[in-house]
Amino acid sequence: MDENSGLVIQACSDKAAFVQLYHRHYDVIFRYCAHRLFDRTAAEDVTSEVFLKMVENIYSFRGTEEQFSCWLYRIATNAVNQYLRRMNRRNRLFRAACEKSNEVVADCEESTEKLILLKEGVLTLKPRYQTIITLRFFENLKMNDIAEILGSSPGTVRSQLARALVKLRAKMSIGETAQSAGGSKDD
Amino acid sequence: MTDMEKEFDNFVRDIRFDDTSDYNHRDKLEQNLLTVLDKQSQHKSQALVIWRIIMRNRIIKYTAAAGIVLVIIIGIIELAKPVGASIAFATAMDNIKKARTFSCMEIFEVGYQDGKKEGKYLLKQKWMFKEPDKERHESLTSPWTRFIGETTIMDYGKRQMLQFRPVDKTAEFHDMSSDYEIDDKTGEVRLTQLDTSLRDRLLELRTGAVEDHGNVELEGRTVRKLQSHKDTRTTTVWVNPKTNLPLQIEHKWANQNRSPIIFTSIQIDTELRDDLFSLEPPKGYTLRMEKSAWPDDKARIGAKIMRLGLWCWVYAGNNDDQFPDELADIVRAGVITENVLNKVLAAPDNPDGPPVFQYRKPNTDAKDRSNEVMLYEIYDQWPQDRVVACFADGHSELIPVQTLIQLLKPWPEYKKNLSIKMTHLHWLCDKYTKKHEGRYPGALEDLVGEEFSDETIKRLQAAPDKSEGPVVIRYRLPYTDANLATEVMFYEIFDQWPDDGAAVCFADGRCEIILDQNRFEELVK
Repeated sequence: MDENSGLVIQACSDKAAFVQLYHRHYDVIFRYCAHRLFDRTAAEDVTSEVFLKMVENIYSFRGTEEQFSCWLYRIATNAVNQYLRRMNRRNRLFRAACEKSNEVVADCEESTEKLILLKEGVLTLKPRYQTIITLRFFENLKMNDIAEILGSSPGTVRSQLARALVKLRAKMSIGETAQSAGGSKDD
Repeated sequence: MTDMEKEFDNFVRDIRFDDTSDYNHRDKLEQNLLTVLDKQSQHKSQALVIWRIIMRNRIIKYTAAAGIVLVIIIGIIELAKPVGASIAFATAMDNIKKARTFSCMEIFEVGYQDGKKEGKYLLKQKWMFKEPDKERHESLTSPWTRFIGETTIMDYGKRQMLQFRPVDKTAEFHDMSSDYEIDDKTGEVRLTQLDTSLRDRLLELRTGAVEDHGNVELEGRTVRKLQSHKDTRTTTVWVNPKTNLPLQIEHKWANQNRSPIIFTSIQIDTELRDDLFSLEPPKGYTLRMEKSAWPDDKARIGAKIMRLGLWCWVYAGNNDDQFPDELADIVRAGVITENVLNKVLAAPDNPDGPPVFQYRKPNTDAKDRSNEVMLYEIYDQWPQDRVVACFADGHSELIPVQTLIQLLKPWPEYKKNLSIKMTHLHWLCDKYTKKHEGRYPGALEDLVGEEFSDETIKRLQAAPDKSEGPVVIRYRLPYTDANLATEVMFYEIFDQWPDDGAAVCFADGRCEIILDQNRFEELVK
């Protein structure tokens, strides 16, 4: 996690400091949303929600600069989960994402197939497992950081990660089998 | 990484997401956020200010010697529900709500206990805060000279606290990174923050009769006096007739045993100098850096157990000093909701899980409530280390498991207190053996070092009611190849064999009262 020495406190009252803080975290949060939602439009929407919430609550943020990143991730996690629940779009999202990834990554077929497999697996997990998988493997966060974001102990996160991987493995093995047997779900 | 994690990591390594930021979106969002920020800044100048009017129940200090006694609150603040008021009354309260800074003096009568000495005194303390994250507290009176003038400054933004005492010119600097509290509305554990929600307890007054007592004299000036009633409580507000700002607020109960609480010298939205909240100790003070004695996970547990203890105290305050028979009683009495209770009873990392605390209705006839366990952590299997317990006087401690076991035993008070000291000493020796490859200290002086002073060790060896007195607990170096369960490590010393037997502590931490003198002499030779 980056340290923003004094920047958080300054950002409450100084526009330039706020802009600097925002720029430091925008890419990270957007990428996290994109990795969770598999859709850039949805990711942009949720990213907007996250930073709006940050602005509304920055005065009441209580923590060190290191904890600020965790706090943002927490807001983003809740926002993504709410988005998924609210829109109830998991299946539509999956289909849209598959179509888009087929357009964007046409030159890398292996990556596309893996992405489809990944989405199919991840989006059917419960939100907490999705969060842990994404933070661990796509945001490359350490267990302690993930635990802080989720408000759990590292031990709990580790065991939940193991369970998530077991489920994911089972789903993705089944998915691979279905594809190799002669067609994707969308055929 | 586990094998499964590596497998998955290899699988996802070359997956490409469509996750490149669109700077158009970023820049557009930036403009929107700055607009929102501007609007918020304007609003903040009349922002709601949260003020702690109820005394923070920080009866938390841990002391190995148990020489410092904790304050027992007689006048428990009632957790008021909204009452409402006449316009003047509401305006007075509303002015508090809009303040950015606030300071006042709080006064109420409190009982205290210090060993065998007990009594009452008029507690006077000054509170001030400056949003968003600075708080200052001064104890103007205390039954213990050392604490008169003790000042505590908390900076929640920096997570740091300074506490200093003018009487002996000492100061401590605390790291608050593991300072937790409970959100009363949700039961969740969170880092401590400037407590502004307590303002609502003063401001949310239920609609009821508001009497206007007209103009009266208060400290040489003419003010307007208003009153509101709720059940057995009368709230009086003295208001500046020109500004409608409250100058003094009093809560008074019909119950004569319940001390009135007065908030006086109220100043709203006045300039409070930054140096009042400075974390630099005054010149000439001896400064000590204090690290939290509690690991982070225990600090979270501690926040929960202290909250539970406080709610039991609130219940007792409303029920003639009778503690609840069971924790469900505090829900039935309306102190908290069942949902919040369940959340607080659960483990910090499993808020929907089963309770991890046990309640034990304290014996209020016990002379020393500071040794009367009221709440403690429970386990399927007891840990080797320490557990958190909350006592009937409101304080909480992180204590060795064997100490807790002793505290729960129905032993005569003196023997019980003696055995508690023995288990503390046993725990210190245990720590020593872990650092010294299983070797016990040759003498208790070997324990003196960074963590524990010679004074602490001597206090632990002294009689329970005479911390400064002579040693009554002797150490006996155990044979390491002996059966620890039968190898005495600490034992009571006396001039004449006590009628009720002699307390001993074995090398496995277990305590026993030996009634047979021959057996005792055999064990300690």
